[in-house]
Amino acid sequence: MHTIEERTGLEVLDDKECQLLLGRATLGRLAAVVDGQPSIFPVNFRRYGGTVVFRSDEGTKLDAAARDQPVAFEVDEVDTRERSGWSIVIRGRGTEVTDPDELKAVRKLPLHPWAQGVKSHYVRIVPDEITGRRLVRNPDTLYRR
Amino acid sequence: MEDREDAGASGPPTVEELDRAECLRLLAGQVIGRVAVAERDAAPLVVPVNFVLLNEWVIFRTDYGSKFRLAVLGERPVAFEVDEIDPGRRTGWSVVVHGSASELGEWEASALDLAAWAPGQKAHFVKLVPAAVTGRRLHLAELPDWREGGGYL
Repeated sequence: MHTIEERTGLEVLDDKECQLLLGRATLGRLAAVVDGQPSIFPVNFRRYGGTVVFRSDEGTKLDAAARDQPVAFEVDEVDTRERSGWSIVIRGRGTEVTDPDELKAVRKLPLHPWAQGVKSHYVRIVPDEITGRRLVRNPDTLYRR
Repeated sequence: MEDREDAGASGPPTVEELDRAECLRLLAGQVIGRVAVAERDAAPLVVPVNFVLLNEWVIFRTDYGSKFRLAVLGERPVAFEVDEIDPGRRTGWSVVVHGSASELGEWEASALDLAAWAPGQKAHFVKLVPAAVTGRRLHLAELPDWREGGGYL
């Protein structure tokens, strides 16, 4: 039995479900604040233990994410035809993986660099909070304006 | 590490900056985006929304009384992102709008075809007026040499 959030009518995903979905997903969006401005970067990631890990070059994304700053990481899957889907938001801190043993381990993750650049840095987000919601297909809202 | 850098640099250009017109064209073709807004001394809030583009405004709906609504209408800078990425082929694009949000008037909202997908009320319409629109098209990166080790599959 799922809990329904009263205000939004969305199903609340428990931690187990969030972890399961995070473990299957490979695309997430990092939201970070640089000089007071929020920004969003799509990244290719993997769940690693209780954390998520992605690769980054030097630059804004690394600056924003890996300075032990509060960041958010969002993963979703939406079926636009059915108007259903789920979304998970991790709020936590981003840190660069620098410990040699840990680096060895995260380098074994199937994390491909998508875009040009080396992306030799590995960033890990350690969650303070993980929340997930599911929007179930609803005939009442499917054609509602 | 040195070899890895060489391998990355030898590939063809894989990031293409998109101009504003192309970004707006791509935005117009999407129905779902993610809104991010900064929180004081905390992680930013990020929420997926369905949206429509009206002129160059990004319009989405929010609930009355939600933390997100307060933040997004709190005269703080807002970012909005849409993308279309194929993880299998490792190609895609991403567009980010930076701007500020305000509530859309009822009469303006009434003409819009913007349904609330969730069963909640989502009675409020928010417009994000872009100050900057940027986008990138990503292409498959040339993978470093296999012999480097197991890091790349």
